Amino acid sequence: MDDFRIVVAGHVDHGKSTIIGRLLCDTGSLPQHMMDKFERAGTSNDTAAFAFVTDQLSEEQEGSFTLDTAQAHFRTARRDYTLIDTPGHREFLKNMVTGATRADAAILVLDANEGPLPQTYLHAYLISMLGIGQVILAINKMDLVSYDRHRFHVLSQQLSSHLERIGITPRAAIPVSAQQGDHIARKSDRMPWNLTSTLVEAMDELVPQEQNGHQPLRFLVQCPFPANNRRAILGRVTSGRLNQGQTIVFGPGGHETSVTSVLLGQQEVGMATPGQSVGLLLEEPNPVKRGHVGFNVESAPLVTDRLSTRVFWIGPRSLEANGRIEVLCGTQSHRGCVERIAKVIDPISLETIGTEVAGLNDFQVGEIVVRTESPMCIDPFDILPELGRLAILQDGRIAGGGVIAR
Amino acid sequence: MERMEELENRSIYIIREAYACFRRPAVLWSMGKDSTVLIALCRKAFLGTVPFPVVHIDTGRKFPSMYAFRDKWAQAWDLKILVARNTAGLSDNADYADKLACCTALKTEALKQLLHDESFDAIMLGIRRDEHGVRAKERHFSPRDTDFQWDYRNQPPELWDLFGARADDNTHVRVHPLLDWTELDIWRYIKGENLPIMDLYFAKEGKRYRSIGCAPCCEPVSSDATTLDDILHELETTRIGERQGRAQDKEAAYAMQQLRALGYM
Repeated sequence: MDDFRIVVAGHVDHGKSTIIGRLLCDTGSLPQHMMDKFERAGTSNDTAAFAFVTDQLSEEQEGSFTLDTAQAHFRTARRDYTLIDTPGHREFLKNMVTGATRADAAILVLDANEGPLPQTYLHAYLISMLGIGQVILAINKMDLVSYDRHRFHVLSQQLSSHLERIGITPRAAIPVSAQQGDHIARKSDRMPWNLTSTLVEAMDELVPQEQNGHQPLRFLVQCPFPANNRRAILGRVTSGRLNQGQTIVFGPGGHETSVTSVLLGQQEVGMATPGQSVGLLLEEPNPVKRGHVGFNVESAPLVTDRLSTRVFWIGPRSLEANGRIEVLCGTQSHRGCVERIAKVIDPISLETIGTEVAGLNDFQVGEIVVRTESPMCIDPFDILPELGRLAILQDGRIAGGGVIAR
Repeated sequence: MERMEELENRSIYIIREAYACFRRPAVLWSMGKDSTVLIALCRKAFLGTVPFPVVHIDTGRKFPSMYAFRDKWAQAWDLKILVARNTAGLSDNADYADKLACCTALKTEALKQLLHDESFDAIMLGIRRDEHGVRAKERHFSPRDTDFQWDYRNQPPELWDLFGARADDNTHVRVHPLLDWTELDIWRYIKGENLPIMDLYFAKEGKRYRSIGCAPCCEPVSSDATTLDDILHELETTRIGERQGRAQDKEAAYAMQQLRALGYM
């Protein structure tokens, strides 16, 4: 029984939290005290009641907007879902990204009355950049446009063609009214022209991402740990397969050794597969430490101190050319310097709006080159994501993220 | 990877990150179901041992059977137990009818004192997002400022499994390895791993506790669940919220938010 994680994104007030509330309500996934709240609100026809499910901070309920990401669980006949609610306010973009980096798929919510607005495009751009390939368009508030078929087609075509330009082919476009409950979990006779499916049916059609067991081995070292007079190496396999007895190389540096034992808790398990947090006993002595990456010699990651990366900036200060930063990648952490900011990209027009600029501001996306003080192991994001994505720290805090292109 | 296996492995990853990135971490154990799962995960993360102190915040108002459970398993698992008590809070005649003040005095203050005395820079806790709407807003690594406060309006981002966690001087970081787990996941794990669990969770005379804290503030729920399978079946069908028996959650609008902003767990 797999759990499918879907981020709900879109411009502020286009109805992300309300769609989540409606999904939970109409699939019978809410505790009774929440249902009571809905029933009370139902008489006053207050959409904010649905948003109450995930908007739990006092500011959120009083201002009826989402301030920080939240999650909700529900189940269909097909599988379990975790829905990740995200804020649509520009100021809370870092919270949106925090939610989105954990998702398998996205629902992009659009207000049928207002059409796409800046955060619609920025969220779409980030979804594409974060590698979330499966997107459903939910054209919401259809009740406000009299369930107009033409309006729906115009908007879904407009947004779909924009998404195609950033490498996303939407899996479905569904006209919904979260407030009225049309086409969320139930078909509605108010849109007889919509012959496709409900939002829930479209979600059930999404496919889980493949496990990467046949890919090159990557083992991220978290720390050495003393175990029965031995020095165990604790870490996680992120791709490939690790077997007892095999030869393994740790980089950067390239120390070759062999795996004498694979431990899961106290048990010897003989091998480890992607996602498993294990302990390794290696031939000693070895210099393996936190930040090292284990791999097979024939499929090594790139070892470099010069990173060319697409970035999104969510920091309180600008990212400056020649500025000092710190880069996190897997369990690697390196100080470095921004060599150049090659490009700034406008997420709405998708055009390059600056080259070789002095700074990247809050909420901007672009392409930069970073020089680190020491070499690190990296992979292309679209092949081996764990070593293809970075967090960029400024003043000791995460202020941006990046992905490494092929 | 199946959900339970994925949750377990990711939690172990987070626990090891806390161990590797902080100078002096500790884990909180209330003997309740969630923190008992957390202790089990810590043991698994470090090949059968827990290499940091296990803190019990003792309000003096806990159920008597909790102490016996603590002592038995602390010995069996070779845990380094530290008991934190706010003796000032226990001895004065504070008005315990005011839940917010009581939780703050007996739990938050006790934790504050201990953190100060032991200079821990990271505290692992077994909170989960699905327990309470405000806990849903937490991060896996959540900094607390010098006044112990949670700045929920300005939380640092976490990207993928890159947490960027570190403690500045005089601050500490709350680490939440079980944030993604649900109540049902906890019980499935307890069953799958055959973990010990307090009797209070099983029904006696038609009532059982779903969430356990201080005795005066916990109400049992109606239930006939006397085995783990009964509990799993009950949770798969119930529509009653987990913390409906916890008084501090109902006290006033946003009481949990106020408590957490002040440093409550």
